[in-house]
Amino acid sequence: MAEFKSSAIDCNVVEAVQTQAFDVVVIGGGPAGMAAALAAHKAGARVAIVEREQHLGGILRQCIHPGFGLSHFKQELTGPEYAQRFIDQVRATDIALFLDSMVIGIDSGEDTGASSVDEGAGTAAVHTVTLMNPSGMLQLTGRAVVLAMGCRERTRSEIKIPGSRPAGVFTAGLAQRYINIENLKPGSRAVILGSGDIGLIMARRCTLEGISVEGVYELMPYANGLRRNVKNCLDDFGIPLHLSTTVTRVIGHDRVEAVEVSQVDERLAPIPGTERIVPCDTLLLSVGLIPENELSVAAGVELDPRTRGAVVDQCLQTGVPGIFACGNVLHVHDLADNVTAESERAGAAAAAYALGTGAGAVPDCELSVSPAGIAGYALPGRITAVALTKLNFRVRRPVNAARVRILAGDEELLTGKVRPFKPSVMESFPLPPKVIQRALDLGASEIVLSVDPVEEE
Amino acid sequence: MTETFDIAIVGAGITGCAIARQLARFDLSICVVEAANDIALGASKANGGLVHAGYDPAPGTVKAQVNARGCELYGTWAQELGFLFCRTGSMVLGFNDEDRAHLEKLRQNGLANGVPQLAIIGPERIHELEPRASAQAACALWCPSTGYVDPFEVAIAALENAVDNGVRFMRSAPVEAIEVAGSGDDARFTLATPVGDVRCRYLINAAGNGAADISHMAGAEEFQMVWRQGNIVVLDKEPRTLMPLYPVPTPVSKGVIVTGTVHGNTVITATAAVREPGDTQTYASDVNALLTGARKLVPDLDTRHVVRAFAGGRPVIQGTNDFFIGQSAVVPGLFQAAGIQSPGVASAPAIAERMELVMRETGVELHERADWNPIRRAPDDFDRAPLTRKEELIESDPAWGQIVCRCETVPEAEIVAAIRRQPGAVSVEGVKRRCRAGMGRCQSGFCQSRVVAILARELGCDPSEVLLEDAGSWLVEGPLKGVR
Amino acid sequence: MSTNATETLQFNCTTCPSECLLTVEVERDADGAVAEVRSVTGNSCPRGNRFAHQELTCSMRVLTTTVAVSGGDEALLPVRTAEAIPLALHAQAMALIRGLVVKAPIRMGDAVLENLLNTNINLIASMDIDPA
Repeated sequence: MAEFKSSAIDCNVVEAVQTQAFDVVVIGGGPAGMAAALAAHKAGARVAIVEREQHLGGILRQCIHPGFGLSHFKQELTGPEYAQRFIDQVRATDIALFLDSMVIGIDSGEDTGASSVDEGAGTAAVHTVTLMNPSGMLQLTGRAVVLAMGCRERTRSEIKIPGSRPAGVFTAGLAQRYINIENLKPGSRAVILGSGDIGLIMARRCTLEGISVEGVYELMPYANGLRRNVKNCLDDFGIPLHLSTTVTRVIGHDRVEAVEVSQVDERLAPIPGTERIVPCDTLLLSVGLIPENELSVAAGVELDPRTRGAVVDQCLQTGVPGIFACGNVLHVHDLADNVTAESERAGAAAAAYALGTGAGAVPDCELSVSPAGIAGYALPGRITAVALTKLNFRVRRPVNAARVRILAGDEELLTGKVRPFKPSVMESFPLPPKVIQRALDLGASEIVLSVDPVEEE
Repeated sequence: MTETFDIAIVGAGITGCAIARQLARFDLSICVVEAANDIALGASKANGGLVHAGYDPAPGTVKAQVNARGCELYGTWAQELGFLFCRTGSMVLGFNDEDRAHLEKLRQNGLANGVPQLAIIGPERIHELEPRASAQAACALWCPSTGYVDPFEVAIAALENAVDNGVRFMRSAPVEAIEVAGSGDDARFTLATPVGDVRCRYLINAAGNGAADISHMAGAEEFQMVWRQGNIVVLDKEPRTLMPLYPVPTPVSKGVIVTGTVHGNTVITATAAVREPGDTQTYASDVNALLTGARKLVPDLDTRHVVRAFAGGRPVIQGTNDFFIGQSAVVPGLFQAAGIQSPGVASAPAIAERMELVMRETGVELHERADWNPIRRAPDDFDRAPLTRKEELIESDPAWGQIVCRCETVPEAEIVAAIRRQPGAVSVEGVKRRCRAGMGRCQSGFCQSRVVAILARELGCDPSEVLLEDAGSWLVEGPLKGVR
Repeated sequence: MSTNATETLQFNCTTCPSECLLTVEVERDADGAVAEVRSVTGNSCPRGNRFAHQELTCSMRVLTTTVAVSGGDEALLPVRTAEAIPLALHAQAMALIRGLVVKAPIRMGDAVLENLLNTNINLIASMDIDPA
């Protein structure tokens, strides 16, 4: 019987393709990629940035609102301003830029017959990044690769909104692109599902641009975005926020004509009888972000199912030696400033790895880090050095009083102070070296970061 | 404006397109008249893409006659028309003795219908063939001839080939009335459409869910149709594509089937519920039933990563539940392909073949043309092209190096080609069906605005005139800035 | 003798990411307008106090939007007011900005419109735009 199976793409057929060598190849030219590249460059590495768009800056180019830079630049900037400052810095260096370029594969070849450990950095596998752009295919080699591809938006399909499939259902980011980049009005009367920051920001943008916003609907019993955005984007314009309410049906055959919204119970299931029809021509979805790791997976990088980003160690190195990850491709951040800080660490670590200046190619230890209590994830997932380690996490639900506890086996190694936690905030908790050492002394193979609500007096 | 043809085919679904392709080899003028603005916008679009083998229909039915034959023809059709077809084989999983008895009955059916190489197999062989099949499966009907296609790719490929051989395609031409003159008339049928009248000597009704209306307009059979609606879910790509796995069928449908696709996704198809005609909404209850049903067959299936959920109606003739393929008993010269519900995709090439035979038998003169070209050259698929071909393409035109859809790796040049082919894409969804831009996990979140810009440029229109799908499905209004 | 009513309001300070929840006691006059801010609590720095007073007398916000570009490699230039302007002026400012067209090249910080609505605040470019 005839078979017509697809021929798999053979990434190894590369004789004809030109190659350029670097120490660190950064994939992605958004805030994460630029910060990583600059840090690697500062450490003395030869660096390349590969960016699929025609400009550096990534999603910040369309985030024209203020709220950026408060911690990094100690002043409030808009997204484009925040990006431009980094673009200017990158442009002032000899970092090689490959714009309009799409990476189609990362090959981590065990080349040069490197087998002995004692030759130091010289034996590190060289990664080959294959990219394409309008002038052809190109390969960049680097001892280290930094993954900084960012994230994508969850879609209507992923949250399974029933109903018809007309035009006028947009992810908030797509609507933002139409409005802020393309100079096109995506509709006149919008309903926004999701009170994450992008949803809130878009409520204000739509209102300012003459698109009436009928309301913001949120499945959870609390707003998911930063408080400042609820205040400045909704309250300022009198836009109602409907909590514990979701869109249960899209109505309209060709273009959205209305949506049906329903209240939900404690298990987030729609309550029959609470349906309400809201006429509109546009439904914007701000229902979560997902790290875009298809390239990472293809390169053999293991993902954490909780973050959907790579499992990394304290240096932000993935399970594939020499491949690092930072920014929203690693875990979804709340603030660009945090992306910058994390990415600078990744870039510096990647340079140290590539140049052989880093501490120990041989790990000091091997500890895994797991979340518990209401912590939704803990990052890094692995600790391989007894050094000050910044643990990042988010809680799964808001609490007024809870504390972080660091556990190894039955022993509580460290506790934080009692304070409120919100899912919208990416938290950071420093882990001193002595705590890590204590865990090792106890013979533990795992450290648990637990966030536990405490009874209020 | 009136145009006259020997044959008019109403409906550019997979059935109409296959018939057009089949008849294009003869020395006849043919027109395909389609209500929508593109190919395969009805039942053909809302389809799981399975090429069922044909063990299912009751022996003696029309379905039984065309299903196995259609499945067989797919090999040749795929080669000639350059569409993707994977003949993977399939299993109907049984979980108990009752199921085993049912599988045996299916096997007998299949033998009677001419389905090759059917076998009842045990757990060991099941897991050899599909390691992810449920460990609870005690037995299965193994059917090596089953396969899958991209159903709109088949329809598009067939019509492209037909058009290449001189067939005319009229889009956005819903038939509003049919006038039937005396039987001696060389152009006895006159179809009134908003874009002009079409006169023809022979009329072929392949209007899918509209077939009963067309038949009624022509004063022919009064088909009583039922809208048997089905929801379908597409999941993200898997490292290894799944073999089609079926449950033991129910009296009205084949049940919830899990299958791989030609592009490596997983499809769960389909629910079956009688709903209001025209209802293409998805329902939470149906989607849940699909996900639950799928996990019964493939317990480790990750059902969180839904790329797309959609729904459509199967055109079912009430009472017979069978296909009607033949000349109208009431209006000679009218040929009907009605009630083409499941397994319509699998049967399409054989329905076309049978239509040719029926026409021949009723005295329609069919003379082969000397210049008929059975081959359709498939458009370049950048994502699947080997590296050397990729380089060649980029060298030929830098737009091949400009990726627009990052999820499916679709460059600008491939989108332009999809618009410029005949018949080409005229909408964002039309582009998606032809080259997969926007088909991936981000569902066009990153690329839609670029596809809109390319369509506007290629079609010479304003972005505000670009449609998602058919008339009325505008995506954006005009500019926000630089205007008073 | 005061006939004013007192009221306790709660809102978040938006000066920095700490977003302190402020509790503000205000006195309203007969028309409902804020006559006096009596006390501000919940702030962890002096900026919270200043923010509360400003917010209750005249809310000030930075306006960010876009301006049409001619001859650039982007269709729109993101712009901002160099400083916060009264929130009450945002709609009027948007109407004015809608018709503007600026010519590329543009550098971040360039004034696109000076003294916006007599606020003494300029509308400035948020980003560089190169010629097409």
